[in-house]
Amino acid sequence: MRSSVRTLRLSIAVVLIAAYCRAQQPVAPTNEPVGSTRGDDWHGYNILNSFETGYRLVSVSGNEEMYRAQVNYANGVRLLSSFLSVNSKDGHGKLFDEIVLTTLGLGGDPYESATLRVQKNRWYEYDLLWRRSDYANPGLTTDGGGGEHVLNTTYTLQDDNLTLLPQSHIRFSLGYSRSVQDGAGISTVQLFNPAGPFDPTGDVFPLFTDVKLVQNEYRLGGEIHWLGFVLNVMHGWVDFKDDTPYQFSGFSPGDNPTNPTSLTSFLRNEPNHGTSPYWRIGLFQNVRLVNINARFTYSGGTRDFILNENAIGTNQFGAAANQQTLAFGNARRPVGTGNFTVSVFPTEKLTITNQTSLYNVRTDGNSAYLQFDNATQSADLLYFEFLGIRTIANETDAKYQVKPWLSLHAGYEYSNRKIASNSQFGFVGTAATLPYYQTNELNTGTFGFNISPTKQLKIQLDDEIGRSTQPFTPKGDKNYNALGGRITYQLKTLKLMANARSDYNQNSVILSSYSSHGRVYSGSASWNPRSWFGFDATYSKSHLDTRGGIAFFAQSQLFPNQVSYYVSNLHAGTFTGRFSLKRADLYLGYSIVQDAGDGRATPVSTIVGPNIPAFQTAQTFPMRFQSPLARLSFRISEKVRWNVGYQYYGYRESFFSGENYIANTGYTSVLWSF
Amino acid sequence: MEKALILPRALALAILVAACANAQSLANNSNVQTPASNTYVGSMVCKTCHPDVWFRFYKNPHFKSIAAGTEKPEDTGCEGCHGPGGAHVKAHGGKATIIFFPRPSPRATLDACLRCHSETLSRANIHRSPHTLNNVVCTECHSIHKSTTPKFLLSKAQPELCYGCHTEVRADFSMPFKHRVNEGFMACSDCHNPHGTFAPTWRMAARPALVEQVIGNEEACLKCHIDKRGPFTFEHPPVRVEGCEMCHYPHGSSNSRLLRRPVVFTMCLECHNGVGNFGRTGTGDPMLSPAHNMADPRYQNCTNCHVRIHGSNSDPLFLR
Repeated sequence: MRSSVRTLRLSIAVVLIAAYCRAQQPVAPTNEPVGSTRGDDWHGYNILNSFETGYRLVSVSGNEEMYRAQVNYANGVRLLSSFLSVNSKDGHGKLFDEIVLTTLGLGGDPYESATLRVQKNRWYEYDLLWRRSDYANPGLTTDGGGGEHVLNTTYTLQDDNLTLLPQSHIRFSLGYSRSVQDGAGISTVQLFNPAGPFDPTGDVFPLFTDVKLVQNEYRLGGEIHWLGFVLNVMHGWVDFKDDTPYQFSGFSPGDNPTNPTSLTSFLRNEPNHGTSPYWRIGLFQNVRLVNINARFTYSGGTRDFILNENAIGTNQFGAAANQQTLAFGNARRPVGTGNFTVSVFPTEKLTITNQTSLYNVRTDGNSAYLQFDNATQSADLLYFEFLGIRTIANETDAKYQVKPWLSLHAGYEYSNRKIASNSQFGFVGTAATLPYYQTNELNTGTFGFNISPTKQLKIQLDDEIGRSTQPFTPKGDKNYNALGGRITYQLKTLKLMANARSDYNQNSVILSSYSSHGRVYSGSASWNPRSWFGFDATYSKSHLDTRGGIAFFAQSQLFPNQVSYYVSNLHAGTFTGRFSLKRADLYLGYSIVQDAGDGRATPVSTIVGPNIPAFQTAQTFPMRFQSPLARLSFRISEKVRWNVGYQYYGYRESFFSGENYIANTGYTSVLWSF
Repeated sequence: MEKALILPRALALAILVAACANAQSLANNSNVQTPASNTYVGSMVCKTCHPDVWFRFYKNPHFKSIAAGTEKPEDTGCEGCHGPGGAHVKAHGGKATIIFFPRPSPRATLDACLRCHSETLSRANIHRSPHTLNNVVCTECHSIHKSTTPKFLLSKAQPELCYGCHTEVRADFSMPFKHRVNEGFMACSDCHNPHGTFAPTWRMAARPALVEQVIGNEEACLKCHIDKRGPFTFEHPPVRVEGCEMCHYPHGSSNSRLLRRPVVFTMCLECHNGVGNFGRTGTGDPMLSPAHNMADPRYQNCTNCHVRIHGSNSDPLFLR
């Protein structure tokens, strides 16, 4: 009996230690436990609950927009976290056997979420996941200027899933998902182009947008277990719409200071609505030596749209410009996939799996585009595009457990991708052109092994080598080799790990070549010798260098056979430590990311590539982002804790200071259970 | 009419034949080997010596098998996983008299769990999953009796569980720009299926590993980023062919909007160089026209004009 009690205490301690040891995360909410781990019994149910309520404090100096894009916590009262579980002790509750409710950051945090599970054994299971994120993003200004697109929006996501008769041979499922993005933004438009709608010498003007994106998904499905087979069928409908308007009023001289073009009024309405019904069918059979499963999916997709745009201003000659643009049409994209997988187990030690996959997508659409300029010029064009992709792949993997301490695995995959593309760009009545076809064949081999020389030590290595005949883009995989290895040593409460991974890709053609070398080395140490003391530390170095062939014009002169060169040397480290002394728990953390770049001291350097300053500064991007934190949690009573924490965020770019910021954040809260 | 019925009839016949052929093997479906003379004693007997496991077992999803009261002994409670406990009780305990986890080989552990948990789409690829191939089987991530999460019985909550091995990914999520995984807004399993996935419908071969497909067999990104989903009359082909990671780092980046480069124009120019047999017409991705003066900062932020770079309904150059 004493042994059992000791085991019980030990298991609780293990659970608590596991809960304590966390990666570097925001200082709040507090992770320390409160209340009895056993909970309270009430009418045949066991109840566990906790709530953490507090106040966040934030002070930012520097570029606040960048802080909002990267961190975004703000002042205010929050329900930082809550947890409630109600469990039937005999599994025969009247209306439910389990309720689990968790919340995070409610009341104004930029990352809010709630989960709910309610279930009654044999009858139903219901799961809800609700999330809301404030998404703020400044313009793309990491190069020191130029970006004008700004978003200050909110993502709201919700998933509901209900399964009826979850333990029977015939089950039913219903689901609903909703995604919404709304809020304010700034976009741009190019207008009053002197040589027609696609002349790039017009001017660019900022626009205000009121983002309104909604997607609803409805699901209905069933599952039958019969004669050793399992058949799973799901039918869903996805409805989506974008009703974002774009507008401007006032006076805008545009982005081009040498061009007298200006904009005084702009309005664009561009509603587009669509639907995407889909089917998903799965068939399974699991017998002693063979495991078979098949999946078939089909999703349709259509979108109908109309665009009505009116712009008033002056053109590059100073004359009044009044331009109206109309576009309407539709797009369709049916997608079908099939997968057939067979796993065989000839011996206890050998597993062979083969999967054949088929993927087919066809995208086409029509768009009638009409642009009137001062009623003197007009364009009446019909565009048509078709993009079809068909991929067939067959993959075989084998794993052999040579000894309990040694296993080998190897695989081979052949993929054949055919792309048909037709891009027509002409007047109404123009005969359709024939599509262009291209085929890419990819042969891939994989190999790896796992060795455990001792119970504490594990060594793992895997490699993938691929050769493709016609990649779609210069940066796509052509001749690549992805090699990785990991060593893990674990002795009781000490865990050490080292990891190395390289990814090389060479994609060469005449006049242009692209090569990419990525290497990642990382290590971690975790030691939790006592229930009151433990730490975790990690370090990672990620190296990337790429050379891509480029060609472009500058001041009407062609620069062929140039090289785009980029070097990144990212060092990342984290440390977390925890100390518990009687009633107080102290948690310390530190996280730092630093890109040492290519080692240059000034942004402009003629190492390699075009002799244009903008290209030289784009070759590297040294920066530092660090965040130390400290949290103190006092146990006032068994059911109440008082917490206080501080976290610093510092962001600094080496060559451009306009986006740097420093943020001091903190919180104080009460965590209680009742 | 008769022709229309041929396919369903053939399918039904095939299912019946296969079912009959496998009827015998179904009876011996269990891959857990137990002594023939052993007997089932019921979970209440186990409670006597293992109260530490039992006291919170009613919160465990496996408790449903006990509460139902209708399952076979080999599918019920403790003995559903640990096998018949008769010999174990008779010997007054001992690891040799009962099925003990972790099993001697990863395959044995996997088989023990898949006996009940195999027939679902989310685990249809578990035998070819990189985790399984590297001996990372069920008990490496799931803790049946000491779980810290109410759902899925994970031994640690995400993302700490995944960071335990994938230290390089932990570094990704420490970047200035990242998906909000450390903040608790997202979890690794929002995009990844650790049990293995079907062949991806973007890129080719087995990479990226373990990325789950969503609604229309698309990349996981499009589940939330609905404005990028289309269908568009004018698709930017690499989005559909190569996937979002052609231009973006999915975990985290030192660059705004998770881009692979600190500036946009080098990323665009690396493809749009007009050479090779790349692109939708096999004549190279079209290079910029002479009017694009790349020495002028106005032309260096490509998306200021090409605002609909992921796809457009009305403009083949993505200007609207």
